[in-house]
Amino acid sequence: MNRRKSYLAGAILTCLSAVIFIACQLSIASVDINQPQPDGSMAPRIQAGETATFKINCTLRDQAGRDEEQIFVFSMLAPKNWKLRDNAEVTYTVTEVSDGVTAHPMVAFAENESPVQMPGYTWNEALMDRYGIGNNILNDMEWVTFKGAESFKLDNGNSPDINVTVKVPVPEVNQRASLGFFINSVQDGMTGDSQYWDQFFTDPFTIYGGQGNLTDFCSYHFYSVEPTKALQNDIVTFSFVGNAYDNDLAGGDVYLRMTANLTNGTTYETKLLMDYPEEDSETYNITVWPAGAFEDLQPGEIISSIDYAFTNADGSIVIDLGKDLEMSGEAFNPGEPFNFELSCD
Amino acid sequence: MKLNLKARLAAVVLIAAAGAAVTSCDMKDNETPSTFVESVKDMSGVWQLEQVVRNNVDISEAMDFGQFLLHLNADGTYILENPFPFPVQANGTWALDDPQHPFAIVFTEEGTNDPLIVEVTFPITSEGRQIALNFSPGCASNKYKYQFKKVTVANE
Repeated sequence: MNRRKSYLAGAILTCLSAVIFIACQLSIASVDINQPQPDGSMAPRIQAGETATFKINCTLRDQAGRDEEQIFVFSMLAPKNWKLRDNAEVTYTVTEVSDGVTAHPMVAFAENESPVQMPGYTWNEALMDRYGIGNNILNDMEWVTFKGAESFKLDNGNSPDINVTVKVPVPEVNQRASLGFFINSVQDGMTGDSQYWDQFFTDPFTIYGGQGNLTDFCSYHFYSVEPTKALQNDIVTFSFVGNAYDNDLAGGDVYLRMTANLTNGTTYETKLLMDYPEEDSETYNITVWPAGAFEDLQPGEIISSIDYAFTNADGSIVIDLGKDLEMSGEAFNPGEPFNFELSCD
Repeated sequence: MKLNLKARLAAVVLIAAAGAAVTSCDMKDNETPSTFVESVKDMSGVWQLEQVVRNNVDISEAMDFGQFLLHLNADGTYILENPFPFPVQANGTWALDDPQHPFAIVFTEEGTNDPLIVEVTFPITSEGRQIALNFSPGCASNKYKYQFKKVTVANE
């Protein structure tokens, strides 16, 4: 009889907690990625090497009350060379359960910690599995997840606002990417029910005034290179995106014409036939080992950059940076080649 | 209540027995240590590059990687045949960091005294014995895994 009573109590508690849990909603209310500009305005762009500040305003609506300790979780998607795990300083303020002013620190999850609903994945792997790289098209991006260094407890009826601030020095390269944000709690652990978490992908955020050509993670161009940073002893994939804009090259044989610029001033040239696109794709690829792609390269010689363009067999049709910028409506120099600088972060 | 006492007593006896068994094993270990010595891993042979993973993406089909043969000779020398990006560029000598429990291959190029340590694992596959090397031959941010299968080569 006692046992029956305790089962009944357990069932009631389970139902009650389910009701309470369902009533609790976590959402991103607004995101601000604008940075102060030299002219005093605000815009989603920043000088290379400076520290960016991002603000993510969230709401936790707990209409029926919830008597449970919460550890807030925040994740961000950015290019890998931002090194968010090491470089980002993440804090949050929370109203009602705190004074709404005190900045509570967040710390990166240990590499081996999993969300409770996605065992076998780290938090960052789970986010990559669920959302990938969001609105971006280049893969050199990563999710990095942080959790509150301390928990907070909701009293009956609390509906606090949680405002996250991220401060991160951006790399000294020219980039454009769509950033991603995700919020959740350790207790929820990425359940499948979207009311317990929220995500947001931004419009393009640009780093200017840095080194090299712009690496555009989120817009289609005729070209892409992976990995985005490499040396001559890496394996590098050059791609011609045949459907980025109208052109006369896609559909037939496409060659990658490369000129290696060496640190000693020498240049070497080569022209390689690219692989035809796979089914349902119009992207031609070729993967090269730069040190092995130029027959004349001597041991000890160092390639500092590669100028390249996509051509047909006789070179009568050429797609280069000039053409790419012209088609995307930006200022361009006719005949200017694409350039891939061989350097690391 | 009596039953509980009996059960507790049985548990205590079992724990004591287990403890004694463990102690016995220790003593046996000390008496016959050679029984438990791990065999030395023989990795010499010709290894053909079969799979290449770059930054967690399999790019094995992107180039003709299979032409790369890594000769780990029994005399301690190695030869790179048709190589791709690799931690060492020139031929030289090789050794395991620990012949019984290897975690790395130590390569030393001819004419240098700079040993280069490359992490090695032994994936279990249906195609027989394989080795996987993890390294970054270019930018440190680019991680590669080369998986080799052992092959029989004419004239070997």
